[in-house]
Amino acid sequence: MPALPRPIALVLAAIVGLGACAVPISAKAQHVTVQAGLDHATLPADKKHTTYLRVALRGQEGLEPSSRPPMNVAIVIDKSGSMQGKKIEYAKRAARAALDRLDGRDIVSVVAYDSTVEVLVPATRASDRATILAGINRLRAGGMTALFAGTSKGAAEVRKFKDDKTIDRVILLSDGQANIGPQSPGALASLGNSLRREGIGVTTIGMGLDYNEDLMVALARKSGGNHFFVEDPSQLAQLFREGFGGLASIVAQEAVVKVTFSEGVRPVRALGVDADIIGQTMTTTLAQIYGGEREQILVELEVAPREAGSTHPIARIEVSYHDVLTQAVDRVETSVAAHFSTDAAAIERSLNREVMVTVVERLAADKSRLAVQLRDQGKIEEAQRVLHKNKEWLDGEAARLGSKRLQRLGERNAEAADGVEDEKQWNRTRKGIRYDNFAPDYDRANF
Amino acid sequence: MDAPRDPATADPGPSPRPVKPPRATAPSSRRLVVLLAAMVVVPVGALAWLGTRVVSQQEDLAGHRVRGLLVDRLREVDASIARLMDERERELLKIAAAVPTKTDAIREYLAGPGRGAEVLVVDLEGRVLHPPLGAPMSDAERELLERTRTVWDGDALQAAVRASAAGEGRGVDHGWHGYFFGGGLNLLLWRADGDRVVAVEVSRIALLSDVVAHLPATAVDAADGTPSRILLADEGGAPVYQWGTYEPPEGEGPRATLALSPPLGAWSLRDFSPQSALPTGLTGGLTFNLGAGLLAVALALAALAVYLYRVRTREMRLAAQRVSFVNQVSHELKTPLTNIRLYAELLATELDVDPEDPDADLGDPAARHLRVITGESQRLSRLIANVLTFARGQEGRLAVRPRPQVVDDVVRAVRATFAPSLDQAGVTVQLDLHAPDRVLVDADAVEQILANLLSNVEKYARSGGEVRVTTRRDGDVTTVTVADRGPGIPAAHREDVFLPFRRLSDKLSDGAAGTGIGLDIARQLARLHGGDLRLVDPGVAAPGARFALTLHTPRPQERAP
Repeated sequence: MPALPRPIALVLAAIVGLGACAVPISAKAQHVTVQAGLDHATLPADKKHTTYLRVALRGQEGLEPSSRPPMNVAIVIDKSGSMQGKKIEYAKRAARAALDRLDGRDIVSVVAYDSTVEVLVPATRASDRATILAGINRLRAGGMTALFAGTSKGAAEVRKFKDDKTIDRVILLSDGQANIGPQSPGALASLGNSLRREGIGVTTIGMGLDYNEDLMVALARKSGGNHFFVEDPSQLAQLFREGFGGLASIVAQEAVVKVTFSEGVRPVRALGVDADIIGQTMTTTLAQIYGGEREQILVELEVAPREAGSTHPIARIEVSYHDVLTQAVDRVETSVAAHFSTDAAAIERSLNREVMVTVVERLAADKSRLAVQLRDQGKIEEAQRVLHKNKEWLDGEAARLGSKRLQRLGERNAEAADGVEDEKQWNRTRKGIRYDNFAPDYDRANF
Repeated sequence: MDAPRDPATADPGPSPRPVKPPRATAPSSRRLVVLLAAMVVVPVGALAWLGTRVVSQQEDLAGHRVRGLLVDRLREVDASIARLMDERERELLKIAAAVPTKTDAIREYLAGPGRGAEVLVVDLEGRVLHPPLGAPMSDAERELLERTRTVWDGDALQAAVRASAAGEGRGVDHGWHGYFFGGGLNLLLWRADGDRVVAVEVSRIALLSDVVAHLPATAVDAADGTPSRILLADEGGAPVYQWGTYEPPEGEGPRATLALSPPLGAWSLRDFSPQSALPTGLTGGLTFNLGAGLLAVALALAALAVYLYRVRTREMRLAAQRVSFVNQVSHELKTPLTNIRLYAELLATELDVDPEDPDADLGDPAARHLRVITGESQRLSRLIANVLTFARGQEGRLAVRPRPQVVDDVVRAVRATFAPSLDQAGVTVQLDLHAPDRVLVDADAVEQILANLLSNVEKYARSGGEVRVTTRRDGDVTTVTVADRGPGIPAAHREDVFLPFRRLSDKLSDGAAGTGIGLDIARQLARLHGGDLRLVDPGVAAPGARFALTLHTPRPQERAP
């Protein structure tokens, strides 16, 4: 056989390499990287097995600040009676800190609400610092809490200058319970939904221990924003600085992830995200992808038994997103396959540590969510038991996978278990758990 | 026989039980005050009541007008919301018009240009075309079907479509359809598209949020700067959103309410305004005017009342003065009269003549003249006594003092006194006395009464030639009757004769003198004595006047030793 030309040889080698076993495949796009893989690359051949598919989207970081998209933000601040004193001062300081992160490209508005809504600063170019600062200074605490109205007015301010290029956000700051207008988590979730459709995300910040965390989480989650729990108001300014920095780092918006599963693979549920599963297709949309941060979609699958030694495709992944820097729609496609074997050791070896950690995290989150439900029903001991078991399991997995993150999560579960009985303690604990469950594992705070 | 005591010179004994005379003087001034007070209070009260009614009616009117203005303002807000709904309608129609036929295509459309709208497609027979019932669905589609169950499970939407097409008739191919879920009103915008109906859902929350975003924020007040508060309330009346600088206090209700135009008719707008913002300046001024007017009227009436009071009291004072003058004069007359009588008696003693003896020798001129002097001075005494009695009666100081006496003795004494003059008049006195017991009686009073009656007989009934005096006693009541045979008193004047200052018509009293107070005094005294003086109808058989005097005369108590 004559020697093959080098390029052809390389290609052949690649094909062989690919055919040997299923490897997680990365495909690079402009600013978003898509990585898809199973928790175990090799699956048991002889029986039905539950496995997890993870699709990770990573935003490119360190992009030129000058090319970042314009931000269109409304800061909505609770000025009800409970905010009187230091809290309102810290809120004002935080708003001023935000202003430092914005420039002439950006639009900012400041809305304050108690029983009524006051638009302190209507949507203005961020370069008009004097007007904005004057508006912020007028903030005074007073009446009740019309959270729904405040958020709606904030969204109205954002709509004024919203276009294809802008990153649109409402930053909602509240320390209390909404008591005027729609105030149930369901209602606020519905509001979040409708704002999401417009492309306006709401990031909610709960201050102190008296706010309604269910409400705030629902609003943030459904609108595609994030939620933060700040017990000490003096940390607000720092949070705002980081958060706005995160906003500025956004590389992509509205990333639609469509996963088509092969025959013999049944999608059971998505963990940690809202997804539409119709038949063999799962669709989910991520509101934005931050530069340097990773969004993870996890799907629980039921895989039918296959011939040992065979390789079968599991899923095809199609991602399309709106690149904010190029203003174009990019598409990425990738696929995942699995090898089937009866060799337990081989299966063991094919473990993808990273994916497994995410799986454990999300399953633990399910458990702690259950514990919250139990405690809400008054079943204190059961709740404690669930949290303790969670911690034990997490400790075990942390050791097995060598994950500090899981260890820390285990500790937090133990702390939570201690904080279940006492009412006041539980208030803080519950907020902590809900925040943990919802918060993606970002490296920094992103609004 | 005891000399009858001269009522004119007798001094009043210890005070007996005082009895008020029938005619009151002191209470009348109190009554006058009451009447005058009423004269002031009643008209002022009536005016005040009328006035306040007018003021409150004006207030109501003003209130209505203000409410009208407030409702107008709410209507403006409603109109702007209606414009918002029109805009939404246009947007949603565009989406509805572009919805494809096949489920997959619909899903793709909604994920893309449809911008996440929730769409329900039904055919005219009532089947749901999308989301596909029975086929695999996403959670969101399942939830949509759940929410809109009342719309597609049954004929609701189709009926609305048919009704609309039939009603308007002009090919109306779209409209709003409301259904209840999640505690409130949700809307579908439907569009008829051949043999199917495409409905785009507008969630209640999204609607509310849109409306809230559209409405003014706090800083906005009424055009003229008056503080107010307008509130958007949901189906249950709970506040959803409010603006305006006025903070209504707890429990204060709205001054005006307006339901929004369809399709948002389940929601309403409410206006709160402070009382001070309403035009009450009107009422303030009116109240002031009313008060001033009433005060003026009250003052005028009060002045009139005071004037009338003074006039009346002056009259009363004058009348009292007159009485007191007469009283004084009479008292003045008593002194010379006493002297006359005293010297007449001395003279009688010196002449050894008894002027009251009816059988005395009338040949002696001195005796005759003395008799005249005595008789006339006695008559003068009686006249003065009458006047004094009358005066005392006017002042309310008349009293009787019963003492143990025999009534018959008193009658005899009177007859003796009058004997000369009656004799001269040709009238004989017949006595028929049956009251010999000792009883409690005021002899002076009885004397005065009988004297008046006999004097009347002498004046008016001489023609009868006879007067008959009878006494009778029944238990505690003694009756004395004086009957003459004169012309009598006509029936018409039976009560008149007792009125003071009244004398009968001229024809009867022709040539007769008299003050006209005799019978009045007599009756007063009789009544004070627990009895009465009446003119009795003599009957056809016996002409003349017949007076019946009744007296309350109980037996005297045994005094303890």
